[in-house]
Amino acid sequence: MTVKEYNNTVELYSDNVFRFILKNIRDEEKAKDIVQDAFAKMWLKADEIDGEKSKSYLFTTAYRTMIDLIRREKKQGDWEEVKEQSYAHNDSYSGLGEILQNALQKLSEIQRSVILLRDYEGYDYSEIGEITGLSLSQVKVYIFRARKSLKDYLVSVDTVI
Amino acid sequence: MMGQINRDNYEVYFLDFIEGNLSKSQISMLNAFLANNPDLKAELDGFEAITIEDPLESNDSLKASLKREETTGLLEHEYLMISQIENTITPDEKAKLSELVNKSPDLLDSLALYHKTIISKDQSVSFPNKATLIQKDKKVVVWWQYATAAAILLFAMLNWNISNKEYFPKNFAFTEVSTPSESSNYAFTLVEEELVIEEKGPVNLLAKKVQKEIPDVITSPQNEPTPQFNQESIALVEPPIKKEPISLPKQANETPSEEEPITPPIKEEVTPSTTDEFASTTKGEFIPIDEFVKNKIKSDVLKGKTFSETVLDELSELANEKISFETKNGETQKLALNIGKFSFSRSR
Repeated sequence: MTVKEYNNTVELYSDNVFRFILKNIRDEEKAKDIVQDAFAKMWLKADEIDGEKSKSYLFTTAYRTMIDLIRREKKQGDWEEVKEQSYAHNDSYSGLGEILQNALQKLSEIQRSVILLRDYEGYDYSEIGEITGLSLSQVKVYIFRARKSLKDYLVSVDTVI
Repeated sequence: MMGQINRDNYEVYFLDFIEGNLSKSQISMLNAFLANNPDLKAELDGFEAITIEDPLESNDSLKASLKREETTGLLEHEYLMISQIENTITPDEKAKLSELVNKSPDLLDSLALYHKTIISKDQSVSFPNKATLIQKDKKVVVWWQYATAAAILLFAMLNWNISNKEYFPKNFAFTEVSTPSESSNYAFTLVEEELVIEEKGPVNLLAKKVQKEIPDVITSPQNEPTPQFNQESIALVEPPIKKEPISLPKQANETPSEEEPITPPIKEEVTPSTTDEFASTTKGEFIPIDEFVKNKIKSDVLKGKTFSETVLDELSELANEKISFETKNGETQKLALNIGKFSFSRSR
């Protein structure tokens, strides 16, 4: 991977990977740190990375860094607290997008990740499998169940409204 | 055995009667009980009115929708609708979904809701520190460049240690030497010969062959263990003078004739090209370190650079920092090497 390819990756995908991480953990500062860390790791390995696979490498690295962070903080006990705080501030809905953002937070971490990779980045199941370390059938199951959960959430919100 | 029927256990008899599980004697007993308790007759009629329709037999579409997809655990119609929005649906599955929707049009509402579960990007989110991630081009410095710099620096320091006077290779002028078989018979051609840079003194930059051809003033004493490098040892070679015959007038008032012109001594001008010598480095081919150093020194000598300038230029280029030498002469002599913000000095 050349310097030019690396810088192109920054230009093209830094927003995407930041958005992906932020929607997963809903903590902007931590999301910034994870993205910075992912790019730093990619730069260190630049000589070994195929330029055409830079996006996949970036998302894989960022995803794994995020999972490590989540696990570490769950052990420390402050992750659930963060989740509770962020749930608390938004119970009113102004549109479908906002409803879906809330619905996303009801999903499990892995379901949320695969749905975001699928909808935000348009990855196919095998690419999502590479990034998350899941098998093809696992990815499919998580996505289908996530869709069902999102749809049920829409039904419930529609009933409430 | 169920025993005698009474108002506490009659429901069991009613159910068994509906199911057809009572014997004739039990049915007779039930009829006798109902005759004595006519209020419960209506209740038995209510039991008989209850009929449960088997959905799997009465409604094929409902039966199909209750089937579950093996891996996802979803009902069949849910699985098919999600496959539809995920664009993973097969033609057979698509036909099946159409069939289900035709039989149960309310499934269209569910399908519409599934379409709404596709999340669009939140374009308002962007990474704020993008500029900090941009990298500049790496400066590729190969090992032999460092080695060259180190060799030149070492050479310079040794040079200074021996003598406090700088060596000025440009003081060497080109001169004609007697090499009968060579067309390029000037002293500068000597630098194209094999150089031995580990020897002391400026003459070491010249070829051994030269040492034979230019006696005394240029060559070092052959057997001197540590030849000193000083100004006296640097011999300036006279510029080449083309040896042309000069015809002088035989008498003082005699003017020279056109047939016998006076030809003044002509200094030979030589403009050697160094292009070929650097071809190997500019093309990126591998060359041995000693060959690279020799070429570098040769080129700069021919450009008229001093040796110090050569060293500093090379080091500055490699380190991408301003590098300079400072010398101070007082009670103690001091030499300082400045590299960027750092300074290395030595006093004596």
